[in-house]
Formats: sequence, structure tokens, C-alpha cells
Amino acid sequence: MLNVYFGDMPDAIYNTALYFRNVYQDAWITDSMSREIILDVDKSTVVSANLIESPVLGPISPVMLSGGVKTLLLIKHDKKQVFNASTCGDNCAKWILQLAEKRKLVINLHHVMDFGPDDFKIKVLNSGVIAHNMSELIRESIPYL
Amino acid sequence: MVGSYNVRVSRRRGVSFRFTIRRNITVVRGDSGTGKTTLFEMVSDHMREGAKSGVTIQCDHPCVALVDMDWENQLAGMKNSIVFVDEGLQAIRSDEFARAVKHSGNYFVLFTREVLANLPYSVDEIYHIKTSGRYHTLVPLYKHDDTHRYYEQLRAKPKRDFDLLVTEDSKAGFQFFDARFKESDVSVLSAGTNSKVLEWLDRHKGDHVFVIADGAAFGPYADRVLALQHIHRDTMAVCLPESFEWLLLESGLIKSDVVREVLADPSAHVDSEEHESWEQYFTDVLRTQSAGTPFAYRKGELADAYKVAKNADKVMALIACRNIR
Repeated sequence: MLNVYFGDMPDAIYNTALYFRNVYQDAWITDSMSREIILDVDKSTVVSANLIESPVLGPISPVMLSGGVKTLLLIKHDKKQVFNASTCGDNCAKWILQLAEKRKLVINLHHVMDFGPDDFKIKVLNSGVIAHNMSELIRESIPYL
Repeated sequence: MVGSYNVRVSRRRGVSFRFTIRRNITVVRGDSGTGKTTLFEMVSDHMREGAKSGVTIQCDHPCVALVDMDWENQLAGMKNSIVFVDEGLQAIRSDEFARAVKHSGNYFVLFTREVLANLPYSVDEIYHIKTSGRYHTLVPLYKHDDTHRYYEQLRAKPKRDFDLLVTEDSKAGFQFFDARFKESDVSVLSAGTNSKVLEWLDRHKGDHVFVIADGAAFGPYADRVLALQHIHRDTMAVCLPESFEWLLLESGLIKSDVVREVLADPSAHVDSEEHESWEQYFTDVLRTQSAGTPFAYRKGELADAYKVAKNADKVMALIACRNIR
């Protein structure tokens, strides 16, 4: 299930792009789900662990992926850390929900990400309340953002 | 710093950004993968090496990137510049950063999805990047109709009359609407401040609510309030004119060449060192231009002249919608 902590979280990795640059592994890039994420969010195709073809930037290395993609790859592969997911746009939300389907996933948010019109189950760690839709999630965020 | 500025940032390797900066604080957010980091890095490269970076920047003022963890010292050396700040700077939500931005001689472009409740940024100055081939521009995230009702995707269409009108302030703005709707079925309440509008909406779930707040400083709350409007579009409408004082100026009640000039192009008159937001500026203009007349403006007590029906009609015409006239 997805767990969200709103607001300042000292142990969370805030600058995910900087952290990614120093920790990512080749296998993170060529993993099948990673390829889907990179294609969906950055509209880019993974050629190899060190080469991604971007329609705007041309051939790029993984460090030039978007901040949101880097955070998603960190969430998927670096399970010991909590990451600042406010580096992700709303187009990353469905991937965060998918990554949370099979494990307890904790993310830190400094804004309310749009998780879409369908019902979901997101636990707001600040209050312990489970939000089932965006209206509830927005209301739960009020004291903390 | 005064004015609005066209900015063009480009490089031969396939990317060009063109946009206009209109106020002291611009916020850029939106989907991932749209080019925010690329824009920031191009500005940073140009700041380091100028034309020898391979990046070209065309703008009447220097465009610089805040890159150091020692940002306070870096900022202290900047004046009359457009300062770009990337999302990795954790200090962006600190009170120290907010103090450095307000009343600054610089304009700021902030790449962040943070709420930034301590910065008075406008709902009109929240952008996302739109791409067409190699060309990118900044497009406002929120649109509005001609009665200042804001939306992100779909226009809200409340199907029932409103029971409650909530204002963000508890002074002149509240007094105006309270007087206006005294004899009607609409109850007028105050949230107290713009930061309390969300809490107020939470306490009034299920009510038919018309929200009126000052758009010029409502940026931190716009995403959640407008998201609630979208979810509850049958029962909630959100109206965000620049400010209540702007409504009074725009109504034509204060006849003055200064008012006309200011309203025609506020960017050309608001000095970011003197006014942290356009809301503050419009309050000053209203106060000075109405002094000595029956419309003399004081925030704490609204002059009776504004409450006279034919005068109030002119203000209400700017935001009229079902049963709010």
C-alpha cells in the first residue's frame, strides 16, 4: 500500500536527482518496468544501460532523464530509502500507485499529487488516516502543507 | 525591479525556450519530462560561461541560476536579475528564502511543486512547459473566464444556487459582500486569511459555496482549492480576481488617469522592491487615488459609498454568476 508523509521529513532524500546520479545501477535502466516508465514519462527509448534515445534531446545518458523518472527508478530499486516524490509530476502518479501494489511504499510529499479520479487507498502517515479518493487526500493534507 | 520581460533561451543542440516573465515570482511545475531541468541547466551554463557555453540568452536583464548551497551569499550579489531556482534547493521553502525573495530587486523563476505558503505568488504566474517540436514555452497552468472563475481542465458548472459566499479576508472585502447580500438567501462568511480557505472548505463539505479570494497571492493554495472545485463542480465555484482592491479599481468607481494606466499594464508600475505582490500594490493605488473622496479606502472599514447599490453593482458585474450578482 502507498503511504504518504506530507511536509518536512528529515530522513527523506530531498534532492533525488543528485542522489540518483551517484547511486544508479545499469540494471535499473534496462529492467523491463524501467523501460516502460522511461517511455511513458520521458517519451524516450532505452537502447542500453548507458544510452537512451530522447525525441527532444537526442541520445542521452541516464543522468539526463527527467527528475520524475529518476525518482520513480529510485523508488523501484532503492527500497531502503524514502524519497521526495514532489520531484514527480502528476504523470508519475500511476506508476507510484503501481509500485505500491505489491509492497508497503512510503514517499514524502510537499504538495498533493493528483492520483486520478478513481478510488485508491493511501495512508497519510501524519494522521494515520487512509484516504480513498482525491477529495479525502486533499482534506487530509491541510494541516501539514 | 519593474516591468515584464521576454526571455529566449536557446542552443544549437535542438532546444529553444521562449516565455515572458511578468511579476516578481513565477512558478514552473507540471508533468515530468517537459524540460524544466533542461531550461535550468541552460541558464546555469550560460551564467558560468556566457556565449562560450553554447547557450544563447536574449533578455533585457541578466538571467542567472541559483546553484550554490551558499545561496544567500550568491543572491546577495545579484540585482535586477531574473533568478532561476531548481527544485533541488531544499531551502526554497524556508522563511530565510522567502525573506530574500520578498522586496527583492530581482525576479524569481522557481521550478518546484512545493506549496510555498510563505511566498505571495499569483495563481496567474503558475506555469507548465508546452512543447512543439524543439520549441518550448511557458503556459499558465490555470485558466479563467471573464468573471475570474478559475479552472485547470474543465470549467466548473455549479447546477444549484449558492448558499454561502466565503471571502478570504475579514475586513473591507467581507464588509462589501456582507452588505451586498444582507437581504438575500446567500450567507456571507469569512475564512479569515487565504491560508484558512482550505480549512474552511473542509468544515463546509456539502454546502453550495462561492469562494472569492485574492488571486494575486493565492498561488500556494490554488492547486488544492481548484482540485476541490473540479471534484465538487456541481456545488462549488472559485473566483480569483487579482484582489478585492483591484475589483474596486477595475469597477471604474475611482476616476483617475493613474488608475487607468495602472490597470492597463500593472507590470509596468509594480516595483518588486516596494511591493511583495500586486495585491499590496493595488491596495496602495486604491488608497492614494481615493483619498479625500467619498470612496476613500481603508482596509479596516469600507466607506459607505462602495455599498450604495448602483456602485456595488459595478463591482459585482466583474464577478457575476448564478445568484451572485
